[in-house]
Amino acid sequence: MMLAETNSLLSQIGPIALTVAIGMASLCALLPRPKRGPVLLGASLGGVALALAAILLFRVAQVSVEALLFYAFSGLALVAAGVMITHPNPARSALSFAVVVLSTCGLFLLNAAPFVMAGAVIVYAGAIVVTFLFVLMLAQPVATSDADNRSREPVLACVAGFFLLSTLLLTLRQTYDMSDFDGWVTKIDAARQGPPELLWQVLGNEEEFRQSTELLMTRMLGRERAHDIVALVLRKDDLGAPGPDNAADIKKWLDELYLAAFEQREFAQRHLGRLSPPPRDTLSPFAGAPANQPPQPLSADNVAGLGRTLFSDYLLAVELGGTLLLIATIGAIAITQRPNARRAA
Amino acid sequence: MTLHHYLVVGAALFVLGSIGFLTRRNLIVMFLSTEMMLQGIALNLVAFARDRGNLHGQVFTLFIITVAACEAGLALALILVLYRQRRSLDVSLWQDLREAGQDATIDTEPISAPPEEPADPRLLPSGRVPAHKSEDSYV
Repeated sequence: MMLAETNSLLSQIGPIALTVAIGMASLCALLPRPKRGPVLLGASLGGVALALAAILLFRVAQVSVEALLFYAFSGLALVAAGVMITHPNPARSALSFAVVVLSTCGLFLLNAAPFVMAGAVIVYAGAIVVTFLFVLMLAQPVATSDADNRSREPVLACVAGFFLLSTLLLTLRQTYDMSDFDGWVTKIDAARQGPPELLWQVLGNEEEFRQSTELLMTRMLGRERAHDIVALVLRKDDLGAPGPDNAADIKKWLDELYLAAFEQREFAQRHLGRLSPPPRDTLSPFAGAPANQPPQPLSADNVAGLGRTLFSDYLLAVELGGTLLLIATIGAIAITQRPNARRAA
Repeated sequence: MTLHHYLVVGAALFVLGSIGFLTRRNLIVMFLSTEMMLQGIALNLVAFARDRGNLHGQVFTLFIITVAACEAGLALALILVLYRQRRSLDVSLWQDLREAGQDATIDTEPISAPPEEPADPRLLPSGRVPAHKSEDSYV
């Protein structure tokens, strides 16, 4: 079992580490240096990394409008983010950041958050315009400068970024990615629908199927149920090779397996990466289903609920946020005043 | 699209922002990098709000935007003050503030000058000199 767990971990680390390493190599080649690195090579490495990520990490079962928009917005956001941190011209960086914000706002909209989208566009658009003015005001008259054409330790930063991003992606995959398990359940369902003679054509080789099940179950939440499923798969040996005489038994076995897998999926979906909710929810119902009840799909028409929950559950926090804005404004005015101007006044 | 997909994009934006903050030396680009890290976190919270079917994640995101606005104001004010002192946006000019016992970083490699742009072409005077009266205007 230990070996199986190690193998499973290695097979997950492989593609993630490869993708992230290519991405970081591209950043490393593109970051500004006194002698410009190979820009074309860096850009094409970045493109390869994004394509690999799309294939390995973001596998989508079926093409839908949401999937297309997700690919478009997230691809645009990541490309613009790369341009922002690697472009030597700060004005271009500010413009690329605007693209990052707009694409992220598209992702907000895909997540049923229209008010947050509008707020982010307004606040960040203002912030970016001001930043842009600052860039133009403080821009260096010379074409090259220490600030823009040198980076501090680009290689070390990219190595650190590689480890950070790989660890994050591995953790996210182990905690939230159900696509392997979904594929396995779909396979069992297909075998259940088809004739029993074709059982191993659908499920694959008997030994392979057992191994893949054990691998999947080592990652699953709820070890007892997972062990039950493995035991259920092993019980297949008692049934013998599929034929006309034990077709009913095979069918019953598959049904049982499918039911167990479905229950395990529901259980994992409900409990993966979740803290146990409090027994009594003290927040108002305006914000949607309480945490201790099964989640309902979030309606995109939720601005009214957002307003009501802000001014009931989060009233104190809203007041404190307003105070913080006021203090920040006063502070910004105070620290930019020239000392002699203060004396004159 | 599942929660996992959005969390991956959020994590990537966060890490790109942190790399930008660590490597770039222009104060304004460093400030933009921190804003990008905040964008990654906001995306995480909004995706969780949709997954859990309640609005608390969106409320958190609104507060993040509020704090980001305060941060933007103060950061630009600080950048202005720092620029007045040294007449440059290079953060390495402020390395006197480093921890005791750390060596100063000195740039050894010279910056290669950009290639000279060719001067605009000029037409040589040629042909017949046109006959024109001189001082004919009353301006």
